[in-house]
Amino acid sequence: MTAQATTMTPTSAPVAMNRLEDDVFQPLESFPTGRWLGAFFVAGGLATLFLVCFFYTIIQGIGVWGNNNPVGWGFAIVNFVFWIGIGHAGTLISAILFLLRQRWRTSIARFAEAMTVFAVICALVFPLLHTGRPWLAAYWLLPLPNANQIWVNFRSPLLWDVVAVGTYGLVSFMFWYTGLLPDLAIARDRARHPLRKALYGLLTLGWTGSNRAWSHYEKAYLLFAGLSTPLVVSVHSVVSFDFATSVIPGWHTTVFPPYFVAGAVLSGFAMVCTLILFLRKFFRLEGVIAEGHVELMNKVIIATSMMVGYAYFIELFIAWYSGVAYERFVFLNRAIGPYAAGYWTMVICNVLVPQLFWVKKIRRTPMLMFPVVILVNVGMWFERFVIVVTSLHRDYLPSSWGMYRPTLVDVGLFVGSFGVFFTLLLLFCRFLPTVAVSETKALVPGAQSQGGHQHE
Amino acid sequence: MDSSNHKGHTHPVALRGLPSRQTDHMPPREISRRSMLKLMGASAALAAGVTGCDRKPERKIVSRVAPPEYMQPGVPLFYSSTWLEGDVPYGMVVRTVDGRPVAVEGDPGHPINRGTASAAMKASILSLYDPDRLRSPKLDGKPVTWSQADDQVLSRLKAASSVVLLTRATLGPSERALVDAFLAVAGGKARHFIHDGLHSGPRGRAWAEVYGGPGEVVPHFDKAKVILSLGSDFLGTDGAVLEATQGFAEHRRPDQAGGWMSRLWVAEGAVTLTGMNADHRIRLAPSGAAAVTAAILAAVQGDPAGLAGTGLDQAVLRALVDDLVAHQGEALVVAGPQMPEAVHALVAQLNEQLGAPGRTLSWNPEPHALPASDPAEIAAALEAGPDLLLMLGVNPGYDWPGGGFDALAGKAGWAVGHAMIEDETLALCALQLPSAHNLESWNDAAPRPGIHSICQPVIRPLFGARQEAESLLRWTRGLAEAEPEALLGAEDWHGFVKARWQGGVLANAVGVKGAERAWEDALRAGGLLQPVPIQGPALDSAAASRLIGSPTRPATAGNSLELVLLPNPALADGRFANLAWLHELPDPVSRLVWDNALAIGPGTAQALNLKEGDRVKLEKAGRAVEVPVLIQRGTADGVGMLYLGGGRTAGGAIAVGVGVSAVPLVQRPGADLSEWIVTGVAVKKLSGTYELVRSQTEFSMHDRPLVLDGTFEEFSEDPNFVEHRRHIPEPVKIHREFEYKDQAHWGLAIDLSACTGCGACVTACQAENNIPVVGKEECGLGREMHWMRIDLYLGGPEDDPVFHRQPVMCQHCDNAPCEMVCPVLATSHSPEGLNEMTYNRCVGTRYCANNCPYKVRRFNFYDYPKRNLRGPVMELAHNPQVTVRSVGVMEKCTFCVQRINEVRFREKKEGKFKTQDGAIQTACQQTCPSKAIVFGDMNDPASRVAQLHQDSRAYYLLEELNVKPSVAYLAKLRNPHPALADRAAGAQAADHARHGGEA
Repeated sequence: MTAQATTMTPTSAPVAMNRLEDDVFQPLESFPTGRWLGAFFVAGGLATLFLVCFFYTIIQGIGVWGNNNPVGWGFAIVNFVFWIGIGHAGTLISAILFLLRQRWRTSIARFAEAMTVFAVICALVFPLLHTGRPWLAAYWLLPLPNANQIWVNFRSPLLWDVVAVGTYGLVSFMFWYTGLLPDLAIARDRARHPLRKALYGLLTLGWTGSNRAWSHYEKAYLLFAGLSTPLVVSVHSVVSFDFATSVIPGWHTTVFPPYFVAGAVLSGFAMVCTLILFLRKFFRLEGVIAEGHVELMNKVIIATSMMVGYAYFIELFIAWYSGVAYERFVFLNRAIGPYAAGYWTMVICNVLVPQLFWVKKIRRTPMLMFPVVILVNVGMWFERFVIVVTSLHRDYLPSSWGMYRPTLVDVGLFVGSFGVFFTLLLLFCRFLPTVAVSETKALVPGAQSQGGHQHE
Repeated sequence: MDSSNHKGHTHPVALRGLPSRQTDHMPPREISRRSMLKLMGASAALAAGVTGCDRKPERKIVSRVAPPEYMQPGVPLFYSSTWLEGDVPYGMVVRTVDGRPVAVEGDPGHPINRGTASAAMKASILSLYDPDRLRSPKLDGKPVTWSQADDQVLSRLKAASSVVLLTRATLGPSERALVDAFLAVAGGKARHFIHDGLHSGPRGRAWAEVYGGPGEVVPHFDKAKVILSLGSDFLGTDGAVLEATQGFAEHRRPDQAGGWMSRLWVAEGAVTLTGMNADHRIRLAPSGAAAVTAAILAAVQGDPAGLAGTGLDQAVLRALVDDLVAHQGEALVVAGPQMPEAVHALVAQLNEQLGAPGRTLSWNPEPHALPASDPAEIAAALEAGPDLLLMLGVNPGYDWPGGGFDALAGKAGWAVGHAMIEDETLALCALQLPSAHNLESWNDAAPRPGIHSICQPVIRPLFGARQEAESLLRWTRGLAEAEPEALLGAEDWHGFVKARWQGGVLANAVGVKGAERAWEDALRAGGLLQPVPIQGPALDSAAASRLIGSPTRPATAGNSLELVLLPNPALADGRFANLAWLHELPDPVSRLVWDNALAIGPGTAQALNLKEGDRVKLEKAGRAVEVPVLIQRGTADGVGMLYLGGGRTAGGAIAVGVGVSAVPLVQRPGADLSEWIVTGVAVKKLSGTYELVRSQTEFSMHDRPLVLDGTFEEFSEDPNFVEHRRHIPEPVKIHREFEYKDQAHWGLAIDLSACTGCGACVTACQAENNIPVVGKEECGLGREMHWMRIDLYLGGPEDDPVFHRQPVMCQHCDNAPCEMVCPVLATSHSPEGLNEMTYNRCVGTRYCANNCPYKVRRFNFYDYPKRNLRGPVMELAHNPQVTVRSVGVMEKCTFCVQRINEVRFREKKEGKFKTQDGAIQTACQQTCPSKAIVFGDMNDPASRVAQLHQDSRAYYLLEELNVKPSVAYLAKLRNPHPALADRAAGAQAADHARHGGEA
């Protein structure tokens, strides 16, 4: 496997190590470009919109959203699952591929990890905000000992969710931060302004670059990679339990855990791919993140797309095969009911469109693959919408059926969450090295000893 | 205690919002220094500040429970009284806590409503604390004191040469005596007219002709085996609905009463609640009712030839005639008050032919409601320009037939209006006087021979209001030169009522026990309630024939409708329009909320090229209304229905602007088929659409086993027929299941066969549990807060639907899906099987609501209770035993846990550790007019609820989910005529075919 992976590793462009370092650190050490400022202005504006909607919701109540009876969950939960899914690719790329010695990951791992952390931040806001009383939910959902001896309900999948997503967020952050240490040290060493030097110095936690430090670092990194790996599977499985353990037709489905994980990987890779395409272009990192890297990601997309397609099919089949009228109705309602457009968007974007990646040219040409990955992002958002809303809006008693119509605040929060995400991402690009320089240096031809042995 | 207490700082619940001198501009005379000191003394005496609210009536009233009537803080006291706001008086028990009324309940001892209540009756508490109530007498818009107002009236009265007194139709015996006394004192210069939005109309006139005298026919639905209703909504709006519903429901569950089941035939144009409960419903435009009734009468008399000419389904008509003939003496025919005189005359003959009088119907010579005066007479009296117009408790400014009362009122020299709220009529008056509420008033009623009801006040009038009768009494005395004898020397209105009782109905009792004691006994019981048997009416056949004449059907033009104007089931004629609870109570037929719309059938809609939400102009004889269109399956072709009571232009913040007023189309007697049936109404489509909000949008059952039903025949053959349709799950246990050893396990049983779907339970629940209203917009978003609802499903053919109703509240599942998923344990299982909500702990994830298969959980999307408050006084309408929930928390039915605890605490103190069956009643159960709901301990095998859970008709909703609900439904029984049974089965099959493909 390792050998094969090594051969699959695209040969990096022949850049000198210094050139690499300069390339990566250039955005950190120069005045922001107009493009960065423009992007930051747009993203910051959207993030402000998010904050406005956030506080408006807290002051007024959930009534400003489209949620109702029977659709208790709407955009907030859709966005939550969507963002958690986005985060997945980051962990997958950095941790699992690290363990599998997929060395091509190095160039995109840092970025993917950062994306995970920011996506988890975006994701976590939604379940908190969507509660009726977030000021209490923020700590009542945690199993904190208290004078009233009131405990949390360990039978509730929401609590599992809190634990799973909380763990995931923390581990992702520490994994990312640990990986940053050697590069932060480079930033520190390159810094000329004393304040800058001091700040980066603080962030490096006293990194010296000594052999001991490196050896501890590598052990820690490996450990975090090991810790993160089961989380990739567990987090989205647990998120899927929110639905799968309920009694609602369309939610109560055993296929959900693997289906959600596959979907998360699909959406995560699509998102990473989307962002990477921009990153390469804007920061001129084509040399570091090669077309081969992107192509490999596209291969993952097509694989997970087919897994998801299988899940779509098997859901329909089981609904029919089960003979349960409620179950059958839900799936029929998805396909031909009032939200059919959402369902078919999901099917087309997630299953049919990625099939284009069978064509090598599309896999490798940024301009051609861009629409595909964008559509997958759209499709995966709609998948969550279809799951959350169409199952709830028509369940057991027709008397209680209703429709869900998002409000402007719902849309504002969704669009605004992208603002938050990109604001964080842009700040990341400005202040932290976007490529794991120390790892990538090892890939520069001539840096390795013969036989492909290097630090792991 | 210092004076700050009286501003409500130390005791917010009791005092805040009560009008105090500082805040509510009460005329200074009303709270004297003396009463202020009394208030302070009471507060000081209860040192802990347990109560500062003492608004007990100034007159002695007597509590229902054993004396002494000293209040215990927080312990409710009950008073018997009479509800007089509707067209029929009902006995009520008023629950008061710390001196303030908090709930109106039906009086179990009252022979007419027997403990049940209507939605409007339950909402009475809301109108008491209505912040829109007039705060003081106003002269030309400026506040004046009562003595100034009285002086004004008296000086005008004395100077006037002609006076017109306008009152409502429902006057009690004492009020009638007072009006007579006033007229006597005025000596011919005063004329009394009756105007009412609800009155006996053509039916009253017809009965007066054919039965001789201003009486009313009292139908006995509990005795009739075959009932034919010609447009009479006796289960919804027509007559003593609570009595009729109970009587009717009794024989809809043959396994529990008598072994027989009545059969209800309904022929009607618009769909009413009664039509929805029919075994056979015939769609019949009211204009055709006379001809059809005549044909039926002839067929019953042995000449079926006329049936063919009716254009109706012959098989149905023949079966109907056979049924009537076969049940001689056990059949009953009723017709709605809207029907023209000829129909009532024919119905009288038909009843006579069937031997109904004395068996299934009797004659009440002195009904509670007087016949209304002819509007033409009133108009003539006003056109003559009287010097003074006194309008007591009437609202012609809104409901004058055809509208335009302002011009008539303008003819009067000076107008006085006496009402609770500044309504359309008061706006026309120079002097506006605030009326006291039903719960603040003394009154009496004698709706039937032997039934003498007393209305006693349970609180001193708020906002300085005064009863209309009190005013009239003062004016009578002031007008008279010497003390009028007719006033019996009474000091005031209370004294007058009491003196009349002691000299009249209590005369026999007085001798034995003393006058005071007899009066107190009567107050305690709510009156003297010993109905005497009454006879059947004697038909004057000649008069009937004269009235019938030759029924002809008016010709109809294209693009025209026959319009039926019916009282709104909740708002009546609009008198309850300021009560938000009643606007939010979904219409029992269409589930429409907060609106009024023209209901037409799908066929008519197609013919007129209309869809739901289109706006149309309805015009007849130059008067028009613009209304939205509502498609109501089951409405007869060519017929439209519009409720009265909408479109108020004054009368409170809630009332104004909701729905459209039908008043411009109300006719004067003789102008059309009847006052409320308007033929040849031109329909013109207007541009634009209008959003109608129904609380339910999907009316198909989708072939799911939700409401199980069967025919009486099927049931007789196999009492366990329901068993074959149930999906009883295999017991699968994942979690430890709850066991209820040696303790109560609360449960509910609902008999779908008895439930008529009226919705009184919904309002009862709203009143009991402080459920906020959310308004039209929020209802449209699906955010209504009702803890229980009536689900309605329509089956059968498109134009001739079969209606299935099902009250649904929290099912208190033993394997509750909601409990499992709450991350903070805010909803949990009580040891007695209640699914409890801990509001304090709830963070509002709404997961429980999502996971509830019954969708009975309600979320506070906004701070609805705060939005509801239009003034601090409204807080007093809250039930002090139930928490008012805040924004962001989930809520749902608790099985009225406060009532459970109240009874059990009391009984435990008495040393009883097992609650007696029936001692605890949920609010819905207590109110239910058909007694369809039974609550109790399922662990007590002798309890009614345990037995009903074992009943052969019992099943559980969605029981295949293994959630183990604690609410059992008893399958609905229908009783189709054997000759038409195939038809009923066919309808069901058609229904399955229609929806089979969807599932």
